[in-house]
Amino acid sequence: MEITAEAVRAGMAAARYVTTPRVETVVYLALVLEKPLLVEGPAGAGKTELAKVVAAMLGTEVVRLQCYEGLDASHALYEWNYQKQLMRLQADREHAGWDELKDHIFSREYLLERPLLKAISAPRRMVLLIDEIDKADEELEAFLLEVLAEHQVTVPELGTIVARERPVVVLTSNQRRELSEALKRRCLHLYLDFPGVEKEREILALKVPALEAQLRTRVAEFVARLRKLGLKKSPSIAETLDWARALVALGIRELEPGPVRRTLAVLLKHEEDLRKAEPAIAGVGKSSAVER
Amino acid sequence: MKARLEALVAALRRGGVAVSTAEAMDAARAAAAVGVERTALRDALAAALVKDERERTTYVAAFDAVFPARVDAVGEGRRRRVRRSGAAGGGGSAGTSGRGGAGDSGVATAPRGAGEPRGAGERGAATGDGSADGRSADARAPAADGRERRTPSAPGSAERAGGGRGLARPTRERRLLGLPFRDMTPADVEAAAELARAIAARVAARVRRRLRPRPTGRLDFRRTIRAAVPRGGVPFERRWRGRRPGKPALVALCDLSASTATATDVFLAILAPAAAYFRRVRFFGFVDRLVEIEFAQGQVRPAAPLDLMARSDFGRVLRDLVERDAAALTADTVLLILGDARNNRRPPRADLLAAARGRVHHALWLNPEPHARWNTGDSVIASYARHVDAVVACGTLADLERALAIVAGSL
Repeated sequence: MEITAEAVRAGMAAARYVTTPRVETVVYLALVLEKPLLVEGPAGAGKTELAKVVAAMLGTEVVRLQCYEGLDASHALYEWNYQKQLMRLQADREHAGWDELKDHIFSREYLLERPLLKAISAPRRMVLLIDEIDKADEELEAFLLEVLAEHQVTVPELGTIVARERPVVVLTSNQRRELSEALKRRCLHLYLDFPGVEKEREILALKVPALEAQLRTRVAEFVARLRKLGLKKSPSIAETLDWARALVALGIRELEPGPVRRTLAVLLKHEEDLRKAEPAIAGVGKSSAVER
Repeated sequence: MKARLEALVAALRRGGVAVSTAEAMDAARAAAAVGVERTALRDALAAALVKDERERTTYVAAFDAVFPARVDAVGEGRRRRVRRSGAAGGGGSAGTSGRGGAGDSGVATAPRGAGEPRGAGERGAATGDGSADGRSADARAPAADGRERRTPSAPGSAERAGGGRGLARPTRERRLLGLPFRDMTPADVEAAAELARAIAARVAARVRRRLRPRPTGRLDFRRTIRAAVPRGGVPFERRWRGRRPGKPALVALCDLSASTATATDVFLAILAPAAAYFRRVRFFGFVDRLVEIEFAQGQVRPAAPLDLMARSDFGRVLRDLVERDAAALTADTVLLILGDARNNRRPPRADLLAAARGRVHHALWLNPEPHARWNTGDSVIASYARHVDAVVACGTLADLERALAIVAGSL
């Protein structure tokens, strides 16, 4: 697809991702400038989904690198298939000379591709999703710099592998720690917050069409109110959708304290949060009663 | 366009946003890609220039000043402010603003004051200071931010930014992080507790990472051969020697006197979750004597009565530590002392601190006072500084996090 601002807008709509002009502009820029996109924001605001949507838009696949504490270069970039190399050495013990063998066992055949290398060496343009980069150690960021800025990976024994098609890189972070300046400098930055009531209603309409329009508004408003309470874990968009589906499945047509309390476990996962949400739940019945 | 971009970058830098040359170039390419539609341009430039959501208020203000919207009423108001605060800001930063002179600094300061000229003047002065002395700008600028946020017009400008809702939280955090503990109102302290939890999680993660056993790169020959036995002696799997540092112990001495009370509370709240990663944690509180304290559910409980209104006596506290509680000081202990070292002209007994330092792995002094006030009046921090590994200012949450990062790094 040819990349224009309109095409991006249409593509995101086609991928059923409800968004704002700001997000569209930044995604468009990331594609045009071929810069990595760093998406920050609270958990459950649709950061990972954004990468998948970009992939769907471009008609390509997501290569996902899920970061975790202790993730190192051998799991992110590449690793030599040590066992296979050893077997080769055992098999060739009598015949081959060292030089020949050395060239052989350090060839692509003995290289295990990890996500970063896979995204770089793929024959077509991939979307590389580096998920929750804030969970990885700071050392890993240094490894990423080469991939992000130059779109290449250096394997000492093989040389530098340059991307044939530059991957679209999306990094996500929940801000559990500050990322390094060097990394931020190389990326475009996007802050993705929870959607407002309006947007959330749109999302609900798109993803849970079975929910009635009036109830949809109530659900969106209620969730927005919960997010303002400063809970330990605010309900994510996915949880809102789950809740909406639960309401549909249970045949609940009005938001009233009783049914809300029964189903709230879908939205809130901490005992403390449930207690905090109690006034909001009590308020649900009143406001709808007044309007009825 | 080029000149305007330069003005925007300059305004951002003056506002304390670090913009690199590469980012400025990205911004130029971004502008070329999206065209001149104002909202799109603003979002595009933000993506390239601002990498921290907490800086978005500064950005929106700078953008509005450099690319004014064509709404006459708003424009008129702004122009007036520009002139006003231009005078205030220009005085402060005259030395550094070269070509642009007072006009340039007007661009930087005007939007912050939108709606309250006094605020603009103060902020202008803060920015001016900043160009001469980075530290004081760091400490003061966010405080000025806070002042601005309380004015009715500030949320309005946030709304204009589009991301109204998303803006509030990061901006509030930024302000709290830079707000000196002694300037905090009770409401601030409450809000800070929430932030302290987040910092505590980060500090705990840092300590955990630091103490993680990791291979040192040395082959563990014995275990490699053992692993090779089932394969006929061919070492398919290598085994590495892990580095397994024993968990260190932590001894924290906290000044409980009124002057540092808030700092101590936040400090304890942040340190408490990290306790799991230490072999043993002992908190001591002191004013003029040293008393072991317990910190639970946000409450400080001294083991023995302690007169909080007494006058601080660090010399006696150190004597208590070295003579009575010396057992707590072991070779793998990290010793933290939080206090302003205001000793009321009593003997500082730095020799005792030296003795304590000799027994522990690492000693760090956290001083909640700003750097400029060290060694003024009855502060004897200099005589203590010689005998600890570092003295770190921790007057704000941001400082405190930085100080605890140093602690984690010393493990």
